[in-house]
Amino acid sequence: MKKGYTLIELLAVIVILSVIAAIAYPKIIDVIGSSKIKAYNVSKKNIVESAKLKYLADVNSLNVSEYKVVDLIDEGYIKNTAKNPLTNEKYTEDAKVLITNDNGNVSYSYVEGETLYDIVSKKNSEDGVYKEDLDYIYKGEDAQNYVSFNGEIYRILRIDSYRNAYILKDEKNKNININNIKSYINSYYNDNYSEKEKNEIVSFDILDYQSYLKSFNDDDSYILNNNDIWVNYNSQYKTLNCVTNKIEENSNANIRFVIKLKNDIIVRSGEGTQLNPYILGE
Amino acid sequence: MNNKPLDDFEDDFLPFSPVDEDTDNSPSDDFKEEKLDNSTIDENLSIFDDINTIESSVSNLQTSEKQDLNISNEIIDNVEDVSNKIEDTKQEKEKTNDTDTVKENQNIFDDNASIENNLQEVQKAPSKKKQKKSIFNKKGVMLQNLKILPVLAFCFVSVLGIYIFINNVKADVVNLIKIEENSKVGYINNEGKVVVKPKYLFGTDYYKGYAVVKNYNNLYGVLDGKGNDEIPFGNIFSATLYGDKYIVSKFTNEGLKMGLLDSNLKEVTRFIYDNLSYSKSGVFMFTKGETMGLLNSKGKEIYTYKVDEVDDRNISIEVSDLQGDSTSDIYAKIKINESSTIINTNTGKEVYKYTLDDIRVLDNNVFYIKDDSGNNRYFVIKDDKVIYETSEYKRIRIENLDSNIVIGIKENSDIDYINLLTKTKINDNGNIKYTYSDGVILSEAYDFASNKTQYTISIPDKTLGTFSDIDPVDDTFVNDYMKVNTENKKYSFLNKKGEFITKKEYESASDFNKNGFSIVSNDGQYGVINTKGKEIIKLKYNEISMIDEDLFKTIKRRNNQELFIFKEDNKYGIINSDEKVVVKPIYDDFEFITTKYPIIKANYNNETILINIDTLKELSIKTENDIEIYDNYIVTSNGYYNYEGELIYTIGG
Repeated sequence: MKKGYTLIELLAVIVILSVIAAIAYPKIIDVIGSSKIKAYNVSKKNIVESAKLKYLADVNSLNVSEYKVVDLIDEGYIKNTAKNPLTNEKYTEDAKVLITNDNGNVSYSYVEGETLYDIVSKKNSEDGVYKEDLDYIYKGEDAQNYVSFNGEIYRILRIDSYRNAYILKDEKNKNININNIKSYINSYYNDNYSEKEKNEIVSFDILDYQSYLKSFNDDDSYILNNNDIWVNYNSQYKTLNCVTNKIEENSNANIRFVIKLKNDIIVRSGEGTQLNPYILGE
Repeated sequence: MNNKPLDDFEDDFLPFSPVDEDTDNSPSDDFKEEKLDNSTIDENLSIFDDINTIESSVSNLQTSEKQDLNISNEIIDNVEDVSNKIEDTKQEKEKTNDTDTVKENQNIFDDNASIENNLQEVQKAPSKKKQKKSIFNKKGVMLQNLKILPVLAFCFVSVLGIYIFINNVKADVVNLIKIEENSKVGYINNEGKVVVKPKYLFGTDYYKGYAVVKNYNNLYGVLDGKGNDEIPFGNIFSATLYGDKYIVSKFTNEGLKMGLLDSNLKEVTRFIYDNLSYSKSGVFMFTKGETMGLLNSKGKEIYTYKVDEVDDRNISIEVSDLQGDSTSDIYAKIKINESSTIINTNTGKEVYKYTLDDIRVLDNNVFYIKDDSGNNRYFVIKDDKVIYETSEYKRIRIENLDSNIVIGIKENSDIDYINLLTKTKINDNGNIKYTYSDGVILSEAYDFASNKTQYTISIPDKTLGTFSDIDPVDDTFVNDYMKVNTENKKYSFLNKKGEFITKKEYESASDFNKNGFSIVSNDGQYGVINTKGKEIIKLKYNEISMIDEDLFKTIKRRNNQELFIFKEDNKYGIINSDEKVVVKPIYDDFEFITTKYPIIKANYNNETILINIDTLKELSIKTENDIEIYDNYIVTSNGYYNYEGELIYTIGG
């Protein structure tokens, strides 16, 4: 009868155990990670629900209201022990719920970080930002309004009262015929943006004449047109003469695309300069 | 008890340990010199086969150079000992015929199997199926030949190398399809099988076989086409795709640094930059300590500038756009703090003196400096030189740099054409009317001698052709051809030599499109002609229209079909250039939603359906407006479909 285990047997057991551990480790990590994200998503939902309660209790007619998570905690809408499941730390100041009231159509979104509105609304004319009515508009030649989106560089035209940013593609698309504009815009949108980006876009069109005019400060604008471009002029596509800045009716011109972004997109990094543009999204 | 001595034996045994000592102690020592009997061995256990294999491998490689290796000798000894034990067993078996002895023999063999396994590890012997030949009778000869082990090792390493090589060469780029469930990102393949379970916080679409994802720890990683980590999480700090390069940041010994990777994730630059950002046309800007500058599309530092103070840094670049098919280098204005210059974006060469004036950038390498006193000072750069400079105009414009023609627009909207080769005005004769279009100048002069209007088509260094007695419709060439009025008040086309491309004339004719086709009609019946004037679609349809020019090219590239839309009995269908109806005329309308992929929308009795114009099949996808077409799949609010219209994945599982 055996009195114990041989070295070989022990070694074999160790090897088998380590193989099992090696196989199981990533799975276990995945499960832990997945449950962390699950918990994070659940807590996001709960925070939004709490914000809804507060919003309904408040009398508020703003287009966009903003409730910080830390305030919701202070006011007792959320347990004061609440932690961010991803970081396992207390919620930061920039975790908030945006409530957009678009003519009675209310939508809620949880945001963790600074949005373009948060950044641009703090700027002033020294940075090329001008407040007109409820909009923040970039003007002048040296506007530091560079944004990186979809692996391309855009310029911020303005942020509207719903906090939606309008961004202008820094490169133009060339020589588009009047008959093809509509299908060109549709196809371009389908073919050049991934699902992720499409989820962040509210609408996609070409530069509108009003925005173009408003980008000028002392006869200078960061929008420089080398050739005639198509503009959206009272919901019609017209050409803008690059020399006279007048509206004409030609058959061919270049296109400058403008994207209206959702108001809950966060700025990952950047300072708006060409060297260090705002980088949108996660 | 038979087992006991064997247990001891096992305890002492380690790979390449002096096993022979143990076996030397076995009773088989007495039989060492005896020759083995083949027939008896064959009756024994199959474990011998392994030994045979080793020996057969050895015999096959006898010719290799002789080297003394201790390992080989030990193995030889082991093999000898095994043989001796077998012989021992055989003799005992003859004497006693006792089953216990047989069992003991089996155990002995088991021990020796371990030895053989070790041997196999060294030699990577072939599979057991081929090991049935007994060559024990050649034992003496064979054993000496184990010296070829280095050759076997070499073969093994070679095979391993080839294996690794094959595994590293990616035959196909696999792009998985991104899915999102409960705000978690995962990926499926083209058949709809989940390859990466939804578990990531964030993930990009696949680009050339890779996707960037972020896990629950906010760490970035890159997945390959099998969903495995190509770049493990935490190895990089961030990765963003610009054009076909990734700007990647990661922690190095010098702190957080940035670098460029190409689409295969190979390093284009080292990770040495404090900041990297994309401009356009493949040009990146960087800062590195107190140096700032530009990288070209190959990741080479083409321009560097050292700033005096680290805080005093402001760099901007504006790249000119080239239009047409010009192959000229592209130039850009670079502004560092307050001074600007112009550089070649390929080589970084400065082609203009530094100036405190603000240089502005136009298309086709045209630049200008604002002048408050009136007209701006314009200049054109080509071949690293300022080839033309002027302050005469409110604006100058080049439509195609290769045409060598500059269009100068005066304050009063008058237009001059300048020959860039001679720097002289082309429209120097007040009696001649000049029109620029499509890279050529059409000049129109009335010749009093012949009482005719004489037309000349020219480019800056030569006359391409002349014609008279023909009346151009609007004096412009479009995509190389000009529409003209004929005597019968119909239309025809001239090429740039002033020659008719067809003897026929048409009541209506569209300009030629980029793909070289024009829609023409006579008697209300429409057809299509090509640039040789051939009617590739006969004039017999109520209406003909073109498919989007870029989509047309996509289809032609994919299946070599040239497709046109035709109308019959108020319904639309699709016809190819062989005049074969490929989509029956049953639709109310077609709509183009992509130019990259072969899917179009069609309206049929107020229903929208999709047609794959590669396979020319209607797809059974119930569509709403939010339909998106990607490379090999279609996304609707219901789920993911392939180009056959089959549902491959439903959103929500």
